[in-house]
Amino acid sequence: MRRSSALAAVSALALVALAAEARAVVRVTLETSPPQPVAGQPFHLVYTLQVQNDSMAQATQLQFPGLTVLANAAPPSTANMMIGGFGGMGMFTVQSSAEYILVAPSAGRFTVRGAGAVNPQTGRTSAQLAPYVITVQRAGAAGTAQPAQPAQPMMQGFPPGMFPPGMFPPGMMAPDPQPQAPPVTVNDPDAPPTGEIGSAQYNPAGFVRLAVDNATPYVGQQTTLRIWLYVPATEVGCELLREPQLTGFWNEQLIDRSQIRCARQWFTQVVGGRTMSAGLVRKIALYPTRAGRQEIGAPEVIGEYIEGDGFFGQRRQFNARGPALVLDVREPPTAGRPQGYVPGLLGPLRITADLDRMSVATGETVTLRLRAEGNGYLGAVGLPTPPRVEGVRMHPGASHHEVDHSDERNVRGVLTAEYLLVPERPGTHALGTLVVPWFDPSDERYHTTTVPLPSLVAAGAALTRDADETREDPTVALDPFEVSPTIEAHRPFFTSGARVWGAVALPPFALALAGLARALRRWRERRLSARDDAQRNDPLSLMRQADDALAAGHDAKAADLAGRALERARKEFGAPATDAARDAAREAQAACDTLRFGGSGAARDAVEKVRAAVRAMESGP
Amino acid sequence: MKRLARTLTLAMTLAVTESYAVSSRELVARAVAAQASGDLATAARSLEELVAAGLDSTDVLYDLGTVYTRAERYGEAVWCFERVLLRAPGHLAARRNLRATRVRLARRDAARTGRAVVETQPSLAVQIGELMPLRYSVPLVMFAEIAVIALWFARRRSATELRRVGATAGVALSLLAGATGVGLVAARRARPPSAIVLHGGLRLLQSPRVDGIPDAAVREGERVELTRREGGFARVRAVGGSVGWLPSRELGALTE
Repeated sequence: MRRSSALAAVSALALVALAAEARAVVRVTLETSPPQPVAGQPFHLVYTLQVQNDSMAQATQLQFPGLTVLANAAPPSTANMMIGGFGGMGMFTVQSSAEYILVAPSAGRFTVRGAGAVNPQTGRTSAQLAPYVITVQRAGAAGTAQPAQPAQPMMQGFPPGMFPPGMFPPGMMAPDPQPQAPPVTVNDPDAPPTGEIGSAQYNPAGFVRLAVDNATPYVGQQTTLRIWLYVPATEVGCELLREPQLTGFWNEQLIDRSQIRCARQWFTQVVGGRTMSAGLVRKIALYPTRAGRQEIGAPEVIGEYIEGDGFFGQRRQFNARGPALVLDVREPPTAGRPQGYVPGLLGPLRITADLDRMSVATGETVTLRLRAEGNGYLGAVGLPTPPRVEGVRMHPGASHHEVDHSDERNVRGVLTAEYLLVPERPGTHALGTLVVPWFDPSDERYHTTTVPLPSLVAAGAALTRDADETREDPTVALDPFEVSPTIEAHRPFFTSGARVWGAVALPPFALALAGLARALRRWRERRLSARDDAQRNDPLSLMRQADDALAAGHDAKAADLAGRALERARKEFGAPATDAARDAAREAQAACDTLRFGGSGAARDAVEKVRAAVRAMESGP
Repeated sequence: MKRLARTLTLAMTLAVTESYAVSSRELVARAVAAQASGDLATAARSLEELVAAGLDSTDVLYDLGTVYTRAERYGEAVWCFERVLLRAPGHLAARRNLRATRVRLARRDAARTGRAVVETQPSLAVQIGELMPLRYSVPLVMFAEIAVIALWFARRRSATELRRVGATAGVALSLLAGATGVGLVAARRARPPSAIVLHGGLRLLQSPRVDGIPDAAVREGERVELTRREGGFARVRAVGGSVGWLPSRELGALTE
C-alpha cells in the first residue's frame, strides 16, 4: 500500500512536469504594415515575441539585407515582458514586440533573416522563424499610395481596455488612441505637402508646420490653413497652447476641436532622414478681410509622446512653436469695377427673393426675404439694399448667416437678409430688380447677378404723410428742408494767418499808436516851453519885455523885468570886469531897488540904467 | 476794333451775370420742387450746380446735405453738414441731421457687414478749434481788447472807489474773454487740415498711384487728417492711425 502510494505520487509529479514542459512555448512572428509596402515609402515591421510558461526568452537580432532601416529598435525581450494572461494550473502568456521602420529602395522581394528566440541563461535556441519575405511594389503600381499608417504596434498587441484610466499622470495628455486611418490618395489635401518644409523649423523632437493652399488670395476668397504636428513617435498627446493669430481674417474652423484630442488625421513622412508622424491638428478656412501683407501668427503646441518601445518606452514632453505665415492678399482690380460693388463680394452668387405675402392692405408690413448663396465670407460682406420704391416704405430687418462645411475645400455661406415693406398707397408696386455685382477669382472678372423682385399688391386707402412722419424713427429723422435758402457766396475774411492775427493785434496797435502820438506831442510841448523859458530869461529878452511893459504902462512889471535882466546878466556874463561896468551895474541896482521900494514913476530911468549896465557887462572888459 | 472788342466783352459779361442771377433762383425752385416730389437726384443736382457756381451759403449746404441723406449718399451728406457746422456751430438743424445721417450710415454698414461705427470723436484740440469760427472768435478778441483798454482808462479817471472796483472787475472779465478768444483762434488755426471720405468701399493705398497696393479700409463719412497732397492723391491719416493715400476726388476737404 505504501509502495503503491509512493508510485502514484511520483506518477502525478511526472505528469505535472510533463504538462508544464509541454506548455512552455515560445513563438516569434514578423508582420509588415502595410502588408505590401511601396518602394521608396517607409513601412513598419513588427517583431513580436510571445512566450507561454517560460519567463526566460530573448528575441534575436534581425537582419535586413537590401532594406534601409529608418528606425531601429532593440529586439523584444522577456526583460520587458508583461503578463498577458493566465490559464490552467499556473500557465501564463507574455508578449513583447518591437517596431522597425524600413524603406525598400526598389520594388522586389526582400528577405528578413534572423528572427528567433534564445534562452539567455542556457543560450539554447528556443524558437526559430524561417526567413520572412517582404514583397515590395512599385510606386504607383497600385494606383494609390499606401496611406501613412498610424503605426502603433504596441496597441495592436493588447486587448481593448489594456490602458487603465488614470495610468497617465495628471496634467499629461493621454496618448491619442489613433484610429486606423483610411487609405488616402497621394492627392489628399490634408496630407502635409512633400518637399521642403518651408519656414517650419525642423526639430527631431517635434515641430509644427503650417501651410495654406493659396498664398495670394483675393479679399474674401477662401484659403485653407492647415497645421500639422510632427513627432518621432506614434503615440502622441498634444494640445494647442496658443492658437494661430488670425487678425485680418474671417475664419471658419473645419475641425471640431471637441471631437479630437490631438489630431484629426495622422500621416507618416520622412523628414531629414527620419520618419515622423504628422498629425493634422488644425484646419481653418480663412477669408482675408483686407488686402496687402497679412500675417498668420505662430501657433504653439505642447504635448508628449512615447519614445522607443511603445508601452515600456520613455515618455517625453515637448513644446513646439510654429512659424508665422505671410499671405499677399490681393484686392479685386479697380479697372472695370461695376458701380455698387461691395468689396469682398465674391462669386459665384445665387440669389433668390420672395415676399411672405403678395397682397396686403396699405399700412401692413410685408417681409421681403433675400437669400444669397456664395462662399463662406458672404456673411461678412452683405448684399446691396433693394431699390426704394415710391409708395412703399422700407426698413431693414433681420439678417441671418449660415455656413456649410460639408465641402471643406469650398465652404459655402448662406445669407438671408430681410426687409420690412409697408405699402403706403394702394395698387401694384413693382419692387424692381436687385443688381448685385461680384468678382469671380477663377476668371478674375466682374459679373453681375440681377434678381427680379416680386410685385406687391396693396389695397385700401393711402396713408397720409403725417402718419408716415409720426412713425419715423426719431433717431434717424431729418430736420426739414430749407425751402427759401439764402443764396449767396460764402466769402470768409479770415482765411490767412496775417488777416487773423492782424485783426487781433489791431486794438493794441491802435492804442500803442495813440500813446506814441501823445508822447510825441508832450515832448514837443516841453521842448517849446523850455525854449521859450530860455528865451524869456535871456537878459536882452528881459530888457525887451521891460520895454514892452513900459510901453504898456506897467512900470512895476518893467522894473521887475529889468531887475531880473540884471540878475541874469550877472549869471551869464559874470561880474563886471571894468570899473565903468561895475559902476553902471551898481547904479542900475540902486535904481531898481529905488523903484521897487520907492514906487516912484522913475521906471524908465531905471530901465535905461539897467540896459546900460547889461550892455556894459555883455561887452566885457 | 478795340472798342468793338470791349463792347462785346461787356455785353457778354452782362448777359452771363443776368442769366446767372436768374438761374440761381430757378435752381433753388427746382430743388425745392424736386425734393418735395421725392426726385432726390434732381434736387441734389440743382443744389450741386448752385454750389459749383460759388453760391455755397450755409442754407444751400444744409439743403444739399439733407437731400444727400435722403438719397443715401451719406458720405457726401456728412461732408455738407460738417461744413455747415464748421461755419455755424449753432446750426442745430444741421447738427441733428448730421447725427441722423451718421446713424443711418451705421445701420446700413451694420446690415451689410454686421459691424458699424456711428461716430468717432476727434481730438480735444480739434474740438476746441471747432467751437467757434474765426468770424466770431476774432471779433470777440478785438472787442475784449477794446473793452480792456477803455475800462483801464475809466479806472484811472474814476472818482469814487466803487467805480474804480467796477472798472477793475470789467478789465479782469475782458482779459478773460480776450484770452479765451485768443485760445479759440489759436486752436482753430492750429487745427490740422481734415477731410471727409465721400464714398464707401475705399482702402488706403500704399503709394499715390492708381495701381497702388491697398491697405487698411476707411469708412464712408469718416473724418481723416490730410497730411500731404501729390498729384491727384492725398496722403491721409485715418482715425485708427492708419496712413495711406486716397484719390483726392474721394475726399471732401473741411476748410474755413
